[in-house]
Amino acid sequence: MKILNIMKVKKMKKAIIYCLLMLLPAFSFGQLSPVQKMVNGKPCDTCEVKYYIFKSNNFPWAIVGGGFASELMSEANKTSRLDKSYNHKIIPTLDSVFNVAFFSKNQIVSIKNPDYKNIEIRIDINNKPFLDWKIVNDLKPDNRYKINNTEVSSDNETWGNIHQTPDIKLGYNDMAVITLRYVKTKKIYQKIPIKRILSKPTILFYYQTALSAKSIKDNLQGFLNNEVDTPALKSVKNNLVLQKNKLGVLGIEYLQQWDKIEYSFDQKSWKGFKSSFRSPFPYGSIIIDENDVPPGTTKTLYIRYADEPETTHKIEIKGIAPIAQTSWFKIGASIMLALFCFAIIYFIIKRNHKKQLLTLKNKNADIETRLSLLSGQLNPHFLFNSLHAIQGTINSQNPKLANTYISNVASFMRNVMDQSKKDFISLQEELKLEEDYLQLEQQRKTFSYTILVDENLQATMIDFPPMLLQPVLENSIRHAFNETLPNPNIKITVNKEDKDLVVKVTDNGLAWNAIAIKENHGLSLIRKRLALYAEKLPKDLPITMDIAYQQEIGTVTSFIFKNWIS
Amino acid sequence: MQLSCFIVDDEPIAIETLSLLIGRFCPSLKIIGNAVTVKQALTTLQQQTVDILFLDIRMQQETGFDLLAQTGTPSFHIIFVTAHDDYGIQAIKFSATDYLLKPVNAEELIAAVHKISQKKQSDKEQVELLLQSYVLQKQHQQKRIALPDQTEIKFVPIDDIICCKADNTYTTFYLVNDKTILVSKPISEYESLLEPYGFVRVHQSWLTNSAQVISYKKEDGGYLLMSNKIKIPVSRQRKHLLKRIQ
Repeated sequence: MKILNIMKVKKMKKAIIYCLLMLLPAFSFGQLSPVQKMVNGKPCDTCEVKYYIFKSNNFPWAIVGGGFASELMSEANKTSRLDKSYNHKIIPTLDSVFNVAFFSKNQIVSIKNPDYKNIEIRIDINNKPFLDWKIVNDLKPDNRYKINNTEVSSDNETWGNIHQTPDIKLGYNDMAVITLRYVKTKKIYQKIPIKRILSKPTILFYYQTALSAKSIKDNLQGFLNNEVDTPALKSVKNNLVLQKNKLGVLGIEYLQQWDKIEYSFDQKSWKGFKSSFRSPFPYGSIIIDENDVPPGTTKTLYIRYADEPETTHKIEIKGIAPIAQTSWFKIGASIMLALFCFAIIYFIIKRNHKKQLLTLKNKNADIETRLSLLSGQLNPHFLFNSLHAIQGTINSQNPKLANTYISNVASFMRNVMDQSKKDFISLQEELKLEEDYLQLEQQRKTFSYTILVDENLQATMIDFPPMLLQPVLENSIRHAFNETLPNPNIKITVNKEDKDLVVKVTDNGLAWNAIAIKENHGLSLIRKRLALYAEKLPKDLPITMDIAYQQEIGTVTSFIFKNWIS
Repeated sequence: MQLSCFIVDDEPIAIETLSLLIGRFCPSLKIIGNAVTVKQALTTLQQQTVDILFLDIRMQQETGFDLLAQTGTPSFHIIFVTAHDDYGIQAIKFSATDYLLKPVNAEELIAAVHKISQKKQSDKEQVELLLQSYVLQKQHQQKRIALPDQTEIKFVPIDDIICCKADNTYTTFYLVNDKTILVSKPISEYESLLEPYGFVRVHQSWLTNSAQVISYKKEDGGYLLMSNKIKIPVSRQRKHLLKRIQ
């Protein structure tokens, strides 16, 4: 059978580069495939058969029905440059079934044609004998294939006879070793180890371009001007990004003509890479847009050799919004700006919060004080003592007095409840409240009281904190007066001194100041309330309290309301 | 003239107490019966004519208002007798209905009965306002208020009140139509009643409707100029309340 060597040089730069790199071994394409499958006794024009033609220093041979992946090819290229003999190199293949063909003649590269009658062949698969020693010349051509004599250039070259091995079947990582030796001397002539390797389609490039109509011209121009073998991003790793408003172009750098690459985002529906020799990406490319990878998400793109699930290669593609696309400087600036804004907002919020907190605190204290006014100031003593007194009036068969007393207690309690809700009542209302209180206390303890109000004051018009005086009165009654004291008396005087309102409570009893401060919270309650009023009122309207014991006179508690009367 | 009265209260001891007080202090009244539930009271009131109804507000699961809602236009006058009930009391005050607080004070009882016996006006409008107020008061949706002057009870839209001025235990209401109404109740009573409707006590003597304020002037110690040109002084102790006036 005549064989014509074909070194069909592709117009593609890439192919030229590859072919040059592949001087040994040579790799051939053909317009009419040099190897054709026989179907029903006729060569099939449309059936693809994978093959390699190797031209070692010693003899020409080919692998028929097996293929390389492009990346393995480049590995093989490196190998070929380092080691011309191939003696110790493993030749990778991707296919499970192939056979090896030996040719008798090759004139492209001048090498001696071996005498196949004097050479024996042996094949081991995974170190186990597959084909025992046999003279190469005795191997018959495989009639399932037709080897064509194809014309290349003006020379009409022939390859002479062909000797083919039986089909070698390999699983992944299985290795077949073909050993050739001289029949007579048994000296090893050549060893060809072929290993089936799991190859994944990883020789890809990636390019991003803006889609907008305004820029499409520039982009296309740039795209077209771009050297095909120098795309934006070569040797794509496992991670890619797709920026918002851009298109991603993922292309195959190199691919054997019989290999098909398909891709999928869900591993269910697989689509082939679009390819055209006229396009800048002759081996196929796909366009990735926001429909495939929305901004803010990460999608996995699966790429594999058609219908070979084992070869699936995963690429994570991250869709990112413009902010993240910007340079580190911009990112840094944004962070600074964000921090700055955050700081301002933080301080504003903090200030407001502090203000609110203060208001709340005051409100809380206010409520607390009002509650104490009800529950603490008018302590249970008052209620139980009142009930006790009522019991006394009933038992003394004086229903009228009992009725009056009950009404007084009830109306006093009600007034306290109603009026202590307010910030201010009138001075007159306050004095009425305190007088009611004194009258109730008089039911139980013997003392007299006097209330003197400056004639120049309009008691109905002057604001006064409700129940302010009551703890002072209570202290006098409880602590200053005892059984032995003659004519116990409490005097309340209200005077206008310049613009100030001065209220004095004087008892003629024992000194109670020290005891009272330690013992009851009546006075501390007054102080708390005065502090609250100080916060609410303008600065020029302070209220002060002063307690002084004077021999002969007794305890004088003075309240000075500065500038109270204008 | 002998007046008939009927007492409704869920506590028998309260009925007994009030009966004793009426027997002792109100010889003109004749108690024709009592009831501890609304249902019981309705049965009697449908059969007999009653001049005065002493009615408790809170009774177990029911209220005195439930009773009034079912009697339709009442032929009797009402005096509420209650211990303490915020919304109830507010509604009663809004409608200027008479009420006594427990424990009942004899003098107040006598005064209330006397007032009723002199009354010529029908309770109809008052009861309507009362029931309305009881429902609306919680949401501060009340539209009108009853203001009793010397001769009769006047029903005034709250929005028509410009301000109120205290005059000892009397209160003068200034209305949008330049009319005034003198009410024999202290201003403090109306302060708590009208506060939820935007009224602010800016002075011991003045309660102002913030919706009727035109401006705040700083001269003369600070005053509010009202829509009827009245100037209301703002006391320095109460300046912080100005923020409630938009």
